[in-house]
Amino acid sequence: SSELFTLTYGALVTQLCKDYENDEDVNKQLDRMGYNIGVRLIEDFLARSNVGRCHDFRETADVIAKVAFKMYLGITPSITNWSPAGDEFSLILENNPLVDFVELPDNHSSLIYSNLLCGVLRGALEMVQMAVDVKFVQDTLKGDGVTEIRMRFIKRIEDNLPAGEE
Amino acid sequence: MGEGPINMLCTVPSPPQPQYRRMGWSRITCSGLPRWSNQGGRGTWKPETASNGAMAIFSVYVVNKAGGLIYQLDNYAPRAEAEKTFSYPLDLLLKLHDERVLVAFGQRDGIRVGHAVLSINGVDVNGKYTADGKEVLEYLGNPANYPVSIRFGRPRLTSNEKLMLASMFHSLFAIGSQLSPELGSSGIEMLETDTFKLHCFQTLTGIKFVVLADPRQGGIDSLLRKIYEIYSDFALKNPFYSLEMPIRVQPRCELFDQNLKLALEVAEKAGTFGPGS
Repeated sequence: SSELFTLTYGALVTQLCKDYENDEDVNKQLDRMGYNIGVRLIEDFLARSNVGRCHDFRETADVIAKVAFKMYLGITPSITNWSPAGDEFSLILENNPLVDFVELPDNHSSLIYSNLLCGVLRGALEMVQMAVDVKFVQDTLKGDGVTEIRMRFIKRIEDNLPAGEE
Repeated sequence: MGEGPINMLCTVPSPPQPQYRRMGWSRITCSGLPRWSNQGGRGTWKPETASNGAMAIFSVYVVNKAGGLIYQLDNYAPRAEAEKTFSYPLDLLLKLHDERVLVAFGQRDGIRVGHAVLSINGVDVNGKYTADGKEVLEYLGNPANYPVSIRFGRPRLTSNEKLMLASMFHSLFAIGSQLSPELGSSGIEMLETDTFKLHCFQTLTGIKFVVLADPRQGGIDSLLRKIYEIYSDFALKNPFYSLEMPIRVQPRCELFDQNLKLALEVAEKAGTFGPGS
């Protein structure tokens, strides 16, 4: 069941809030933890899902939304708001399992509660040679209708390419 | 070992090869129920039993992105060794090579060129020195020490040698993809010799899983995927394991070891894995 997961995540965030007292620091920590999860999760994902290398950002977006999110969180976000250059898109999550039953108090208004997800995506993509920038632009916890994650492709990481990948 | 025709492995149902008695084809599916090819009911896949039985997968190497060896497992039965008593003078020509005493000439009775001196009079030698610190060649040059009983055998690779070979393979793998006349080729996926086949699988993140097996052993592709899964489970999900570091040493990932050995046994017996097993 996902209750334990939601509770665990909640305990993690509140403990970080106590430890750091400053919302910005908590956000950074969540991102860093997410990054450490992402670099490991990518291997599990590749081992189980057998997807091949993505050749452009659109394919990447599809795989993230339809395969990865489904596999790990059980939800399928929709992909919208492509930039004209095709290097930015948004993931719209109707419901976010991390924030079930959560209400953000007023004194934590700049806390990005689910920032772990941003780190996970960033870390995972970095291991497959893609540098991306991931951030939340809408959050149901802050009163928005949906949760929106904006992903921007920065560049392809050329150093340390595995052999055979040009 | 190594004489005679090359046995080509056959995977998916195909006519029986003259070299093995193949009575059926077993395949383990994810439901756990084996399916058998129709040979009148139950059948098993029996390779021609070599002298060392079912040890068809010889070793597994895991190489990280930088070419460093992070895991190694040897699964073969001890090589043929020959122990003989000799009198002076020795009719084999021995030479010193790489800190070991090897047979340079004089192949006979199971002792072949390239075999190393493993023990003298029952006491294991230490490289080029005997256990009591005397030089082996000196000792064997002295007629007073005869008759002497020497054990010869194929020398095992030291772990330093394995590290070196792994990084060498890493570079050759990259060269393989560049030498290819086709654009966008992968690196070396398989290397075949008379006595073994080397299979390599590189993940999208740059980690290589290398398996050396009997040329007749099938199902190595799925074994490689299975090893990838085992790696992502027992190594990566262990929070105390740091990425790119040797797996066995520090911290201990015993479960990775155990599960890998299990996977090798299943692969040797079944010949292949079903999807999602």
